[in-house]
Amino acid sequence: MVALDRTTPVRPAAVILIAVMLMSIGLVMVGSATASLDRSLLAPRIWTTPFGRQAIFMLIGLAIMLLTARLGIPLLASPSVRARLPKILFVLAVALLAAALVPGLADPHHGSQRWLHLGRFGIGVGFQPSELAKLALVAFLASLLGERNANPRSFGRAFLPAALAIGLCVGLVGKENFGTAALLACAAGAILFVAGCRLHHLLLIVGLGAAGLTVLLFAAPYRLARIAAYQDFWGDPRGNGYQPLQSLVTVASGGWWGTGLGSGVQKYGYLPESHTDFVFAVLCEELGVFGGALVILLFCAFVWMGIRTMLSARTRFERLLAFGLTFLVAIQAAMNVAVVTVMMPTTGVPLPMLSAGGSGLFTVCAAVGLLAAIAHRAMLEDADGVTS
Amino acid sequence: MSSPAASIDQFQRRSGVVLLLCSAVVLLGLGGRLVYINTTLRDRLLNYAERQQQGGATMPARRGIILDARGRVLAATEQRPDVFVDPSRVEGDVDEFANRLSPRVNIPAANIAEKIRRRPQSRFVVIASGVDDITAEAVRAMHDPAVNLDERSVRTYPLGESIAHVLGWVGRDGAGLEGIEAAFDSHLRGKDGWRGTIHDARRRALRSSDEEMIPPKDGGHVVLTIDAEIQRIAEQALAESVNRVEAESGIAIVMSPQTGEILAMACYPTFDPNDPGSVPTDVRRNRAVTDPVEPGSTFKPFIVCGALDGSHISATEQFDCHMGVRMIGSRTIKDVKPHGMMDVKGIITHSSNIGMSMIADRMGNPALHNTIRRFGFGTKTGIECPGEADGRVYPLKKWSKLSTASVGMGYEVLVSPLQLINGFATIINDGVMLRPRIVKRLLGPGGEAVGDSESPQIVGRVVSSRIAHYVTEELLVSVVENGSGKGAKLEHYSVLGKTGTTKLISRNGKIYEPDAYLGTFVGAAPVERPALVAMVMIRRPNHRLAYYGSAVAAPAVGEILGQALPYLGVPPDKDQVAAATP
Repeated sequence: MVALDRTTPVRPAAVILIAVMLMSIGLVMVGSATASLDRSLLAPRIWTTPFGRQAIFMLIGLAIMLLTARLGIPLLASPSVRARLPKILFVLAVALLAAALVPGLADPHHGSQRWLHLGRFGIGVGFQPSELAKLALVAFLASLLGERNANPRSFGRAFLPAALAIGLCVGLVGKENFGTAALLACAAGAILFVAGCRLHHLLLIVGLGAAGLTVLLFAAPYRLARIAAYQDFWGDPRGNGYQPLQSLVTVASGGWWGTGLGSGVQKYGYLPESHTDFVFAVLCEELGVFGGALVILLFCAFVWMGIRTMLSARTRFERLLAFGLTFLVAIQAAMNVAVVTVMMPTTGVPLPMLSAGGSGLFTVCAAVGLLAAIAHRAMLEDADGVTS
Repeated sequence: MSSPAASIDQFQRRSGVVLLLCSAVVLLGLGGRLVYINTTLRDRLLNYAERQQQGGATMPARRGIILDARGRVLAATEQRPDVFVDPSRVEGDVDEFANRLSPRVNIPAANIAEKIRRRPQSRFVVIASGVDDITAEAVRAMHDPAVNLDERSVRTYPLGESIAHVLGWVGRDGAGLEGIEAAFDSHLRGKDGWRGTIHDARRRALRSSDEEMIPPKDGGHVVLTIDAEIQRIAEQALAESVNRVEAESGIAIVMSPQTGEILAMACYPTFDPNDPGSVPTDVRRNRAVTDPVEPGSTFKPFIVCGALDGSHISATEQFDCHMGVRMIGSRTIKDVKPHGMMDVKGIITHSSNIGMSMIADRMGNPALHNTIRRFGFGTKTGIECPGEADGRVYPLKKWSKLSTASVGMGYEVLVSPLQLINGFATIINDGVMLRPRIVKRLLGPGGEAVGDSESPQIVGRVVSSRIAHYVTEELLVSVVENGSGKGAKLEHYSVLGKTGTTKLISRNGKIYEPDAYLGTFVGAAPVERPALVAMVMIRRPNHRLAYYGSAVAAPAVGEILGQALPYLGVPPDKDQVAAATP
């Protein structure tokens, strides 16, 4: 097998550039997907339109990204921060997840309680704790398994706490949001594997996870119906098959080069969630296979940046962190595109950086910022003497 | 190199790269799925997309207008949209919304709010239908997505109840249902166009699809021979006569004998073609062409024409009028006043039934039958109005012994009012029958002439010019001067004409109803070259007031001729000084 030593790092600006490109495409598509016959794109007040809100979210996200990229450099260098911040984040995320299940605080959204209401500041601001949980769990696992004195092969000191943390997060998220729970479980399992946990420990958790997911699956009947319907959309085109069929119709309407930006028809009431979970379908309708392929290639480029960052990381913690964050974004993107192209049942997972929404965007921006910080630190002289 | 830490680092790098590359491969594989969807699945999906997205809207053709002979608009089409509200798009409070809409449509806010609340699930609550331009503009100016206009064209009849029976009316769908509207529906209607559209999930049009566009062809226009002013004169005179004698109904027709053009055709009572449903069907029927009647004495001049033309009698011959009573078999024929020996002029002037029965005897049934048929009775005139009656002339072999006298007096035949006046017009027009016409010409959508010429259509000569002149200038003038038609006399014009009073057959068609009469007068003026022939029929007058045609109908004809002739600029032919000092 090829021996992989620490390689020359990627430029942090390249990571940020790809993210900004994807976010920009997302903003344009959100604007197009929410075009309405009744009002202009930015009226009556810019922040009340989906496009205006997404633009504001993008600016905030960029700020978070740059701030994380800048502050991450000293924070990652500090052993005490490395050890404590992930734990604090994790506890916070678990607390918020639990709070979202409290009826008074929850903001019912599409029949699932996955939003936490943070009050109103003239505009409604909701927050999805599950988005923070993604970041927190990845950071916590990287910290648990990647510290200098950690032993990933140990059951009691590494595997058990990791498994408990994953179980807690996946369980809390999964109660209302099956797709994100599956995503979390998948990314967490990958981190455990890459960190070097024993294979039979992993098989144990995979078995437990599979059992847990099965329970979640049968707990909410609509999930089963969706799964049953997803390939047989012709059989029930107006019921459970509606969403997959409309998604395919939208993608197929685009052809190779698309109908042209803004010219899509499916977004006008045919395709539900056209600006959030199914924005990729609208993109394919208006920009064609060409546009879809461009976005997929940008995600691949992002993965390539992640690989380079991971390989050049200064510490094991940073390596696991870089891997976990990149992998999380990559499989979430894959999951979303798979749903849009009806390769898997509808899960309610947005396309990172493209779908409308604040919480998810801020999380991904923080992740991108962390990647940039890791890449930046890899370029520095070996000041703190940590090598591999 | 082979320290445990180093090997773990190696494993982490290697497995991390493998997993991340796997995720990239999955992403690229999904790119392949995009290609698959856009090739293999494409046709069926696009077919489905088309079915759900494509619709269309008719582009309505504009219905042509109907004009009178002088270009006055009798029927036109206006855009009168409906105002409707989509309750699901009303923002905020319904009452507040209703308050804003209320002054623009001039409907109380409470009514609007109630209409909206009653059907909250509906997407289409009509608040006001057929609104005018100003209201439509006021509603548009609201710029409220909850309020919309549904464009609809409405047929309007500017003269209201005038000419209603001739014009007919159109249904809600814009199709002509009666009268000229029905007879020329395909000409007036035009052809609707079609515009294919792409619509959203709520079926609101997003854009039109260019390949599916058939422009509408607007309808053509119809110019009638009717003169709205003469029509007004006739309607007024008719209404006054009907009301004066408390009659059930009446009919008036005015024709130009030289052209066959109908200048006025009125039935009373009339109705509003904007709201035909408000009256019974009997009232809406154009009885001037659809309902045949027994003509009675007005029929006598046709028989006399036939008798003179066939040399069955001579103008100077005297007939014994039996002093008012003649027995034919078991049947008694009476005259209103007893007369002794009279020539044909006297018989017509005094409308002697006994004299007519003698003339009919002289002619014999075949000549009688031939005469009636030559004047067009029993055959449609071919006027453009729908539902024209043939009338009824029994075939010769069905005639009985009594038929000879009956037909001679204008019974046992059924003729439509139009056939009757057209027969008179024939005598007046030197004995040449023309096809009566009510449509002057057809115009295309742009006003260009369509179809054949406007010249009179000659049916044929019925009697010789000499006899026609004798009947009009001697016999029919005498009716007005000395006989039953005195009521139609005019100060400035010499008038000719013939009265008629018939008993009406009961509704079951078996017996003559007691005290039910039809009073008729047909007149023309001026005598030298009559410019107009006019007829008035008064049905079921109150018999205690009056019922003879001379009393109920002749004055109305005089009224019509006296007003219409000056309107047409026909110079008076009577010596005014002489007329002023009788």
